[in-house]
Amino acid sequence: MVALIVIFISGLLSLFLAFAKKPWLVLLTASAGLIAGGISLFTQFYYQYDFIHYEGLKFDGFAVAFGLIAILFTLLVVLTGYSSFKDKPQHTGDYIALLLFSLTGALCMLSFTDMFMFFLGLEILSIPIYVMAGSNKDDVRSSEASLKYFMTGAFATGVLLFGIAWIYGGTASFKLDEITAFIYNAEGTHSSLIYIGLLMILSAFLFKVGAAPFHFWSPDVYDGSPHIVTGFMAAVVKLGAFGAFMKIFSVTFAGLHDFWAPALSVLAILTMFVGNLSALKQIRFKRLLAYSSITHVGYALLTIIVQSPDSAFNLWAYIFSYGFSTIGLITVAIIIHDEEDRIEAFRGLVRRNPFTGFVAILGLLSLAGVPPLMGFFGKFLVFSEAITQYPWLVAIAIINSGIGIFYYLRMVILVLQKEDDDKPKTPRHKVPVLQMIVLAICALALLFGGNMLIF
Amino acid sequence: MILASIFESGVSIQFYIVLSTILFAIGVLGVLIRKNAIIVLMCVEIMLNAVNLLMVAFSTYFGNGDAQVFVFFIMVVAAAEATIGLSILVLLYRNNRSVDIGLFNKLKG
Amino acid sequence: MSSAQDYLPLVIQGVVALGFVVSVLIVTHLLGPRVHSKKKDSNFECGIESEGNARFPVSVRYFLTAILFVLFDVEVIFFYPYAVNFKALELEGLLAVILFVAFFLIGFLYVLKKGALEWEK
Repeated sequence: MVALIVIFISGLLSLFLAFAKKPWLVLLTASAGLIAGGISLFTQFYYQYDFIHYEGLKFDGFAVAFGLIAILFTLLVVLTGYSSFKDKPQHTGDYIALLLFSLTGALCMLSFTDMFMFFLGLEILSIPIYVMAGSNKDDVRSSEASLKYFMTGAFATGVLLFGIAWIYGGTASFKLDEITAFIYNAEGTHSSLIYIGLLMILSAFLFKVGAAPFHFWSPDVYDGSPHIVTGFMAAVVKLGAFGAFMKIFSVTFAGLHDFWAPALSVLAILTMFVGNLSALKQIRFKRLLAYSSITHVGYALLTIIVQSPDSAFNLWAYIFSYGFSTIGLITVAIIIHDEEDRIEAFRGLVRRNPFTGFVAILGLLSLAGVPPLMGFFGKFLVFSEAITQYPWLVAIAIINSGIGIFYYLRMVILVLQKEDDDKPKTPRHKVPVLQMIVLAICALALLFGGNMLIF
Repeated sequence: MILASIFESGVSIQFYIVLSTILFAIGVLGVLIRKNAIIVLMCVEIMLNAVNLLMVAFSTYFGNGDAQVFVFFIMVVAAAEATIGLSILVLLYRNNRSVDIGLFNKLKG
Repeated sequence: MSSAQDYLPLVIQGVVALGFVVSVLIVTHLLGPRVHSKKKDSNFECGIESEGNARFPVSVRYFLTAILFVLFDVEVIFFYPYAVNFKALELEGLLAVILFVAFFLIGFLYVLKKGALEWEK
């Protein structure tokens, strides 16, 4: 709770400090707020002491573990984006504040205990991102992405609320533990209202995480939004949505597992194939990233389908590794700064900027799941947990990883290749210090983080 | 006379459920088939109002006020959402001179 | 649940509202003088030739003010439950509402500082 307030206040402060026209001041406030928020989240969990008590939010181990990486990812995104934020000093505060407000929404979504806070958290998470997606005001593509995200998001919210209303009709409660108890007590004799509500909530979640039949918005939105926002959506928004997904389905609706698990497994398979097969023919980098994120959503859904005490940790590890790869790659894309955002612009990167190219290769290989890197361990944990209960699902997931390796490796080769001799040589890219720090953090995490996940 | 029977027994919960489902379906259909972005926005509001109706009906049925508080939150958030949506539309209108969603096709592939 | 009598006022109100609209429509139709001439039946045209595009740009300031109004207007909805339970909530409720208004005020200050409400610029 304290962490939530600290981050919110630092967001407000950065909103008002922007009037001083000193971008570094805003950055300092925001980073200090994020770090303070992280520390207070941790200490509060460690000492089991919360001096502001509210029954709607409970920061248990799950919320703290996911919340800490949400804060870390936001910090990385803010650091990466600073160089592009500070070009418009009058808006720096707005951008950073919106990211922080969105983070508070993500924290609500990880710690809610009733449907009120879940709904409010979801909206606090989404609404700033609708605005951020359109923050590149002169670019039609950016505003179009914003509109598409807004329309699908608002629609999904409507469906979700309808689902919540049905669940309320079936159980007469908004509290998660009461709903759980109700479902367990009325074994087999549930009113049909609960089933309708469950399906509505399920489809709204699939919308929000961007899984297969409801994925169509995500490539457009990822493509049109500014790079920073794409990174934030891929890392933090997905984390928040998945956290809430797990809380509601693996915990609250666990009693109805037989009802929703088959549907979700079919959708997970569909998601993997749609993401992978569409990614094969992409020429724009952010679109590729979007389809790759759809595929990864498919893998991550396995942790929700499989019922096991380790599922939460596996999901955490998976999103942890995925977030680092994505933020690293987005940072590289910002450094390359190609107007058209072509994948072709990555050609010969390792010869121009060796370190940047190195991080790009690490990120791509980690997404592909190549052994020494963090992404491999994330995938390994997820698949090894699922293989006893759903061997066929894991088999399909592994086939899909194989397809994935194809386009990731194609890009790795592109990064390693020499530039064409007949074309004018691209000059060496300038890398601001902050982005260098982010790249270094991502590289370290990707190289050595995996071993920490196992122990 | 079905109408008379309603008046005698009071309006039971089923009627609210049916009405709000119909409203919700109208909203969903509108979002799916209308071309004008402002009308799509209005249809989303219809969906949310269907939810409000259902929640208040259940709340009276169970005799607890939780859902009525929820409805207040939904209304406020819906207003915030509408604000953002209209701002985005103004932004797009300045670039495109139209709010026809069929014309927003710069992002493809 | 409610009985038939409770719905009587609603029915009466509906009938009155509908009846008023219908009767006004009929009465105006009957009472209004009808004069036909070639000029009157032709389309209305003003003396000056029309020029320019009808889709002239409307000031964005207007939208901004309108949108801000919607937002600030609807947030006041939270005062209704508070007003009903004013006595029961005692000091704690008052503090909560003051906190809410304070956050609200911060938003308003931000709008002012940004210059969103300056009509001419």
